[in-house]
Amino acid sequence: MSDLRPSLDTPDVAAAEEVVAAEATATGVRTQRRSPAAMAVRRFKRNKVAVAGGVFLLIILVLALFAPLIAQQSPTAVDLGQIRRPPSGEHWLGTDASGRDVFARLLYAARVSLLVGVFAALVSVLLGTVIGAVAGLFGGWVDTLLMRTADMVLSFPPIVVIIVLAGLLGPSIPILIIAIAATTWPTPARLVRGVTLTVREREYLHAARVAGASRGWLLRKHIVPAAMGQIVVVGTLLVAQAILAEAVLSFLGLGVQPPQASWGNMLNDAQSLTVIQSMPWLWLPPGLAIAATVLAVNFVGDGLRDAVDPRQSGRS
Amino acid sequence: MILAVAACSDPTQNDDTGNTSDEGTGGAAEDTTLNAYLYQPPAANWSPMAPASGPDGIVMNLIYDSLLGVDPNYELYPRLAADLPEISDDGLTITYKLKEGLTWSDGEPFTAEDVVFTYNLMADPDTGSTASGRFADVVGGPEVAAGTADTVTGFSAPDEHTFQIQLTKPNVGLVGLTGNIWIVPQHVLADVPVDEMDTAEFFTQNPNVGMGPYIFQEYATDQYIHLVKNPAFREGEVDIDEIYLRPVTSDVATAQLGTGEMDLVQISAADLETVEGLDGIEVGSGPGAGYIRTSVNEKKPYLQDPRLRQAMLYAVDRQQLIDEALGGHAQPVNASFMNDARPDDLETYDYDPDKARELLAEMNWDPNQVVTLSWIAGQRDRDTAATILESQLNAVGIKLQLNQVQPGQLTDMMNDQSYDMTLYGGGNYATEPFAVFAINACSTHFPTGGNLSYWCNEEFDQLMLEANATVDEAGRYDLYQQAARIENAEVPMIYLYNPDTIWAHTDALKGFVPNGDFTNPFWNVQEWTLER
Repeated sequence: MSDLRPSLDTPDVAAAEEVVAAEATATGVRTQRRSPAAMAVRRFKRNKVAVAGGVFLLIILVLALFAPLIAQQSPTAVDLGQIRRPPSGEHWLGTDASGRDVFARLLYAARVSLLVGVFAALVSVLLGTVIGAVAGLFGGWVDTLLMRTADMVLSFPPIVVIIVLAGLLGPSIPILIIAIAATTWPTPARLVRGVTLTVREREYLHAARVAGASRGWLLRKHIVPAAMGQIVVVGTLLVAQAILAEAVLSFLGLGVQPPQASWGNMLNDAQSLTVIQSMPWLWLPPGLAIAATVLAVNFVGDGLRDAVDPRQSGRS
Repeated sequence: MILAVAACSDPTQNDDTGNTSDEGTGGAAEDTTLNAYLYQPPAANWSPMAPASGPDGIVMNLIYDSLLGVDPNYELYPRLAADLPEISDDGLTITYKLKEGLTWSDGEPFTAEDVVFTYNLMADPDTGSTASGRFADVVGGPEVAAGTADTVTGFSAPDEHTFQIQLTKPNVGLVGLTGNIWIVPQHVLADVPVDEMDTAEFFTQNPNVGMGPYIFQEYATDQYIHLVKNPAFREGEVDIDEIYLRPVTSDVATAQLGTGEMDLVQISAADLETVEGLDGIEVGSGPGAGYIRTSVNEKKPYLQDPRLRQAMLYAVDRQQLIDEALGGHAQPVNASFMNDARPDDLETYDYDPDKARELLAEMNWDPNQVVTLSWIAGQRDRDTAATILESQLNAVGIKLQLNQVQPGQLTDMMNDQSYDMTLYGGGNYATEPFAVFAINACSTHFPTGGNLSYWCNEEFDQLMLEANATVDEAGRYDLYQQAARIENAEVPMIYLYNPDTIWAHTDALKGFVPNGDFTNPFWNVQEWTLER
């Protein structure tokens, strides 16, 4: 799904860095060396699109967290007297086929979408990191076994696998998270394995090993920190993928189950010809929410990548 | 994304756009193909003995025929029979005269022996039949049901065109309940062992011999059922050459109606206005004879108190559901009985959440007890009803959870009685009031019959049986009304509504007469033409 990432014409970060350095020496105020993390943050802040994406996500997050305070109505309370009403003062985004407030559902749905997105990405990254590091560190048949498994997982179309899993185990949010994670872990795994292979041959690692460090210790203290920057980037982009996957599955009725709202199943409610033709308030808001959120996450992800690894800048 | 799904189709679709050439120019008429909506994927068991399944019933109505049929006024009319059956003065002999000179679609002659064969299968629970209970008053029927005899002595074929049923006592409802049994070919099935009948390849794979207007061709799983016309049909070859029945959601079907991919669709009242606005589409409707309901599984200890079910009825604003969500295109239901069998003084359970809470408090309902409602999603009206049930039952303190399932899953849940509540609809209780027995009696618990609530009330059963044995009409309906009052008070099912069945079809389709029974839209298919 890497084709989902927008290709960004980010300003040449390396050049920007030189300017920063020049500024620093010119003013002579900050003579101490910045940590790589601090430099990454600086670079990220210079990427306006990424920052805008981040701000947008923050707003969505706040709206989702404080949904009960912001929405005047309950997202699941039906009102049979108010079915499919257009937006009004009482219902800002109108009501759906059961007379539920679309605005409230949109906010509560944000919780589900973000929850699924973040947790699926977390589980995926966690799984991928462990598998990748183990493969890289142990090498030999362990490496072969794990990486061929990863290739196998990657060779299946993820959405089909998720549909089968959801169908077999019954649709629910935990299943959704597990299914998405189970199909996306190879990406972080390969990445971490690559980093591990490089780091493994470094002198400091040899030194640590000679000093008696266990593999677990090496993993915790050296390999994961070395890969952390890239893990964060991949993890962020996985969030976007997971949000999309959730929307697709819920749209198909295999994701979040009614009456709980998610952006995907709000769109599901809007498959009817009548709704498409004459009730845009039922499908426009969740559609826009999905598009904007995924776009914002991708912007942030790209910004993070450029910030963490300036050499990658401009490539995608 | 929405449009992509709505527009998705399969290669067969191209056939019919190629066939839209005008006919009657003197050249050979090209194949005409009708694409019709199937409201759920079929369970793919086209056996008359199998548990009732609406979508499979639509198919069987096309590939098989029966002695009698039910018209849109819910009255019986003869199909394979030459006329309505004669009933002897003592009420103990029912005689059907069959139309003469009929053949099966494979050319074999159709005789009364086929009818005897089929009725024996229906009376024998070993075939998977859920209808054996209906023959309790037939001579030899109970023995076959109990497994102590192989064939029912009361079914006989005195000659090739006569089918006779002998009864031990009068049974007024029998004709209404069994006249429309789909007849299956003896010459094809005679060698199948009785206890393997429910899995016979003929029924589950390829029921390609029948008496109906169409012959089964192929079922492409979850895509379509393909039927071609039967040249041997009793009224002569029908006009429309092929039918594709396509299981899609009601939303997709309605959208496809607009694009011309679908010719005949049962639509939701919510879409009525939009569909009426489409060019070249006609709309017609008929009153339903069954109703949408949720069974409450009384095998579960926490669902046994009638006060719980009463509370559920009070908790749901069914009138507003009808008025608003269904645009008034439905009737309220408070008992399974219809027309003259339904008394006027039934409790109407008008929306009263306080009363519901009172009843729940009175019975010490545990508000933490989770109750799950399982149903096959995809029909907008039913999905909306489920949503409303969820919200309004939770509002009075019944923790209802929704669970969308696939048809196969629901069958499994029915077989192991594991569901709490299940939402479904259908049936015909207008033609013959005794049909209610099959969904409410102690002896008709699923899978023996269609009682999915596992409700059991001896007094109700007694009244029903007595009514069915009462030849005098006034006396019979009085007994049915008494039974209706018991059902109404005990609420074995959460009655939702009896929907008008609304059909929309292309105006190229002529001769369509809307049937309120949504499992029988093709009842007069021999009168249809498709003039594109």
